[in-house]
Amino acid sequence: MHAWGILLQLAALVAALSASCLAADNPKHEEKLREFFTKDGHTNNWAVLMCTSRFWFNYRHISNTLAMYRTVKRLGIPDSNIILMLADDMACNPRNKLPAAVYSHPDHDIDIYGENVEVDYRGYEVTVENFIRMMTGRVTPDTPRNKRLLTDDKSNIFFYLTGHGGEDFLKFQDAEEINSQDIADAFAQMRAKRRYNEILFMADTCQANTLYSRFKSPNVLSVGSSELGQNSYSYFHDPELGLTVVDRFTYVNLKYFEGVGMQSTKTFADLFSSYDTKVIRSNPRYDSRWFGRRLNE
Amino acid sequence: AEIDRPAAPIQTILQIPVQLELQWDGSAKPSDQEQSGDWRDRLERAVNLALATDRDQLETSGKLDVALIARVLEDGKHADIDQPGHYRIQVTARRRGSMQATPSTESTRLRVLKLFVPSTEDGGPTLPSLEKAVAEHLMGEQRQLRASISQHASSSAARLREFNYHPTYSIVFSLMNEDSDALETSWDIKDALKAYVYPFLKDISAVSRFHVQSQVSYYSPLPIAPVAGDNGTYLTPNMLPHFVNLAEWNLASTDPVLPTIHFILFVPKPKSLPMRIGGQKGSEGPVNGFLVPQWGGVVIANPSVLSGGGRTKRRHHFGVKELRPVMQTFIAQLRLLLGVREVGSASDTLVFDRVTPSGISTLELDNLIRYRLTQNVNQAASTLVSLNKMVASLQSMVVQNHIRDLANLALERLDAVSEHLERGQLVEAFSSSVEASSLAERAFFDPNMVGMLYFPDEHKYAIYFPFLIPAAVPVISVVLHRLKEWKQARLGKNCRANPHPE
Repeated sequence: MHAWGILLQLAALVAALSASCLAADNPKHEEKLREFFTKDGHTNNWAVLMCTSRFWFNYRHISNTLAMYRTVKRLGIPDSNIILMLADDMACNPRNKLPAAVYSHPDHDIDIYGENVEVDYRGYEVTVENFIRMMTGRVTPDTPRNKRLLTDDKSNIFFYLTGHGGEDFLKFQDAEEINSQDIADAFAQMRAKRRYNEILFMADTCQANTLYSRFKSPNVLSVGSSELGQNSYSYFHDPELGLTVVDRFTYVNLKYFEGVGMQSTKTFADLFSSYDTKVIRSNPRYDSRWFGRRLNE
Repeated sequence: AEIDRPAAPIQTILQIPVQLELQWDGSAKPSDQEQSGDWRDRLERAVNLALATDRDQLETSGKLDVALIARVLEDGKHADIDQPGHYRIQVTARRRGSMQATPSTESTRLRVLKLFVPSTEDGGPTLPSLEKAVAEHLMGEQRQLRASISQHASSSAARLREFNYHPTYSIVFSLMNEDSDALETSWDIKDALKAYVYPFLKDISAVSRFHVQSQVSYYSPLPIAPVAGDNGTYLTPNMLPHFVNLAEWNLASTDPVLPTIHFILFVPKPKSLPMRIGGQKGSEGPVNGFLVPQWGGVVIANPSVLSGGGRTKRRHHFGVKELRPVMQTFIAQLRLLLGVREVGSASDTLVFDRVTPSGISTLELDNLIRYRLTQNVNQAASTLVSLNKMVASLQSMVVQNHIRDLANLALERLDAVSEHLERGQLVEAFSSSVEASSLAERAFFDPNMVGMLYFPDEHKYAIYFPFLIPAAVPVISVVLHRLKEWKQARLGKNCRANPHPE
């Protein structure tokens, strides 16, 4: 392996004259502009919402993801910045007694599938390879725009993964699995290519806290629904559909975000302190070791 | 495949030729104490000092080590500054190892930029302010270039709002009408674009190309409700991020990779007219618009609801003249989004020439080219370094030959950048840098570069042993059995070697 002689250090071509900077804006103008800008360095938001399990009895995973999708859309992220990956189709499933609709509550008050949904990766397209390709940007040239993660160094990304999982892995479609090391490597590659500013990684699976145990990339905040050896439980049972329609951890998050509007100033600390272990029946935990900001900002 | 050539060092980049033209009118004179010849030398020396790489070295050894050399010329030859006239300060790149400036080429001579020195009553600018002004300008440029490739992402307002560089952009101009039932709108967009926007795009085509589209939307509801004021409505700062209704407005792009810049002319419904940004007293400037970082810009139009006769209008057409301030705002926003730095006045006495009909001056365009060139070279270099690191760390990944070829080509293009710069060819250097960056990206993001997934040794044992061990049991037992037989045969104790019983 040859060493690379690239000098990213610059020779100082400029003497240390204390010349004033040729700022086009005068200082007062800059101040006025500053109140219009966010505190950290991001200009756009993205969301990657993924459900990895198929089959009718995993209805709740699909409805978890769709409910998150609705929340994220309501709070302002447009479809062009959301990548929704659903491993199966519940709305048009032959076993669905209420066709063309997906509900996350037995009261059936909100149809989270609705008329304005854009699923980017559907059915068998949700594979480990496609997931890694999408994250690292190594898609084939014929991939359409909605399947690409076109983030840059000023994007904040929300990753939400749900499905069946275990220690250090997440199961895809009952056929393959992704290792937590793979996700950590993908984040490291994204960091190397400056494809994100901050990442919020949320996982609702069994033993979800192990999924983020290998992360080493800066500015990643992770939260999982249960510890090693614990299961994550489902919440409401729907007698009409005959199965459970949402998971507890996701439900708690959705409930919290119902009270949040686009212009709210709530912080991560508020979100994490709203988790009630008695309702969730497992121990969610967050990991902010690599996160740059304090959680109460 | 191995990549075996180091890339060019980045410090070469900043030796970029610049030619400044100094012009002043009658009343400015050198002061009496100075001799004219001295003045020229002093000016040269002062500017060279400003550009010196190592001031301490200069002070101790008396020798200058500059990457850029300044000479005062008059129409191509050295001159004495003792009377008003047309002088040029030529700053050129020094070829490594020599104190001679590289000869100026055709393209360098064309990039002459003017500094106007207005006359003042008390004798005009003195030498220190001239030196300082020129040196400040050049240093400001260098500082910007260095900042642009610093490792830490700068969160200055300028860096946050500009698009990342791309050789092609798509621009969409949209006329969004909140309520077409009450007031129909239309616009002469084609003529307005031809008159105001295309000259700018043509000038800036040395940096990027643009695909321009326009659309009219007849029903564009707002996601936020403006605050009612005494005369119309107004928007507060924290409403602005949510103004653009990305959910319902038709702003999706169809191209798979081109970044899109959106410009929206928004007509509120007549009940909300006039809508202002800021506070009760209205927006800060003459234009009612704002820029969305890395996305585009919005201008809110407030057409008068009453026609000439005092009746409520049902229809409003934006003619080319009415679109002029709107297009000017869009151009100003586009400049910021593309990373054009405004050339400030160097001091009270020197003013840089920056007013042009198209909206961008030569100096600003040059600065933009230099800025993007530095960014591209930096990006190409860091991409290749990451590529190398990744290939080295993922032992199990197969790297095909075409990736090696792409990487070598990228390195060649990086070398070409410094060669062009040494010869003073800025535009050619820039296009080489664009090629280098895109080749490096293609190599890094090639679809074949997905490494095999995490498959550590423990997993290998766990998968293969449960199969191999049971399969191996009969083999091992037969081998052991045969060994035993062979041993016993050798010792002659094999009593069972009888023929089969009948």
